[in-house]
Amino acid sequence: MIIFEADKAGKKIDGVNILHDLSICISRGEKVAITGHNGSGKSSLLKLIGGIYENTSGQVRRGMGKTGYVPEHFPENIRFKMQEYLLLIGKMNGNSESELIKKIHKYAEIFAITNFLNTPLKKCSKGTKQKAGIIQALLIDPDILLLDEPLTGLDESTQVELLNELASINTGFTIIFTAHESLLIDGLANRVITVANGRIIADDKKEKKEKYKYIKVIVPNQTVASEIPNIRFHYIEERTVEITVLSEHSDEVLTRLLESGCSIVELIEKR
Amino acid sequence: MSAFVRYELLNFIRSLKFIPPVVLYLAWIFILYAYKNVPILSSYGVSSIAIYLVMTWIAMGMLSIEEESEKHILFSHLGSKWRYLRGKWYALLLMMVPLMLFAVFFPIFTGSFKAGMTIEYYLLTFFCHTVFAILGALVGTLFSATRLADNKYAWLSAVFVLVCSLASKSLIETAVFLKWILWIFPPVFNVIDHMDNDFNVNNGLWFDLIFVIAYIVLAATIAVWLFLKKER
Repeated sequence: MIIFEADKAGKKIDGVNILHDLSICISRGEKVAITGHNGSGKSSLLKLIGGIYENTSGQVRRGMGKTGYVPEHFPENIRFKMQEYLLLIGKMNGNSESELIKKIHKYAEIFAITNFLNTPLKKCSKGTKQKAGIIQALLIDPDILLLDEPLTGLDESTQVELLNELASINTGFTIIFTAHESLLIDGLANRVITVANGRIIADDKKEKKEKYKYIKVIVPNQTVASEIPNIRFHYIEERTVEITVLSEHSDEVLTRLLESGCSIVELIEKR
Repeated sequence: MSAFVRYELLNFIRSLKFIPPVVLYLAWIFILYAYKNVPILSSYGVSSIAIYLVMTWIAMGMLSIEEESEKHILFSHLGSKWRYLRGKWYALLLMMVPLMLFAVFFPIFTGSFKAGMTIEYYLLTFFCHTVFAILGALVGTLFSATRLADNKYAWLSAVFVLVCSLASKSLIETAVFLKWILWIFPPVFNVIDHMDNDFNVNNGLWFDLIFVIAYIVLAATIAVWLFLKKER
């Protein structure tokens, strides 16, 4: 099912052509990376796809459902505490408060910002604000997620967390993101669109490799998993933990687990 | 939509941008009723002018409160830009209600009028304050949510429109041909002319009320079109 189609579309802002002659088609379930140099028109293309910008020439057709949008820089002057902001934003989509609170706490735990839920967003660090920006988009269970340079301002472990989270979402979900980092492009995208001077200069389908490993492990105590960097984990029993890790880090993590006296129960490659 | 209206009201109140216009408004009402035994309708006419100016100020503050990225997040959650503008207008109407109630009931509670209120006076008074507040909100929208907002003289231009609309009667008396130009400014005198002690319900009143309502509908339609054009 096609969710976005552009035929020779262009966008002009204040008399300046920022996007020209774009002809693309995006289908549901695609994971599209938009790359290019600074000022090439990546963010503008993302906004055009999401309907934040309208085309000023050519034809554009959209068949999108709920859309979550994460800007490159989270707004500086939000006058709400984090949970209050997320609740209000979530309610705009008709979600109930109890359901939203559960989701907010789940994502806050994943992104390790539970302690900041009652902190005014203005007082949060750049990285924490960026995480709130990602949560506001995920909170509404969007059909399409638009991310503008989502890794900006995030530390390395959170970048991996975010990548794991996005990769674990079901395949019917469409993700379109702009990025410079190969981490996100290699780990998530199955299509890469390259933009230069407001034009698409390359549009490549990419075979997505097995990039993640799922490890089920019995641990001697609950501190072991929390001491290992670059992983996402949750306990399914008191001593049994499920770990998701990028393939490139998996050997290192397995060695560390074995050295700590853990017993590996299962090891699966994830798509 | 109610969550967005709540978001806007909380955001605006916490920004403290409401304090200057609201303080000015309250001071205006207090001064207006500093003396007792004042005429009813002409006093309400003056408080309507106050709500007109103050709502323009509040609308300009509320419509320009978000930075671009915050606005884009809200667009994505609301699903349309028109819903965003509508939510802003609902929030403005909610801001208007306490201001209007204060203007209407303060002189009644303090016994400032020389005569008693009648149903007709109440109806005309509420209508007049509501119409002036909406006209003020529309002027504010025009100069803060359309391309006119990008002009560095946006505030000055808004003040110019307010002054022209309030001075239109005197200007037309000075130079009659101006009536062919000044009709484009908010028709405040079509209402305020009826706010005096000679008030009576006649065809002229109905004509003016219909003209003002038609003006508001047309101005709101143009404001929406200009807003959507800016946010393309």
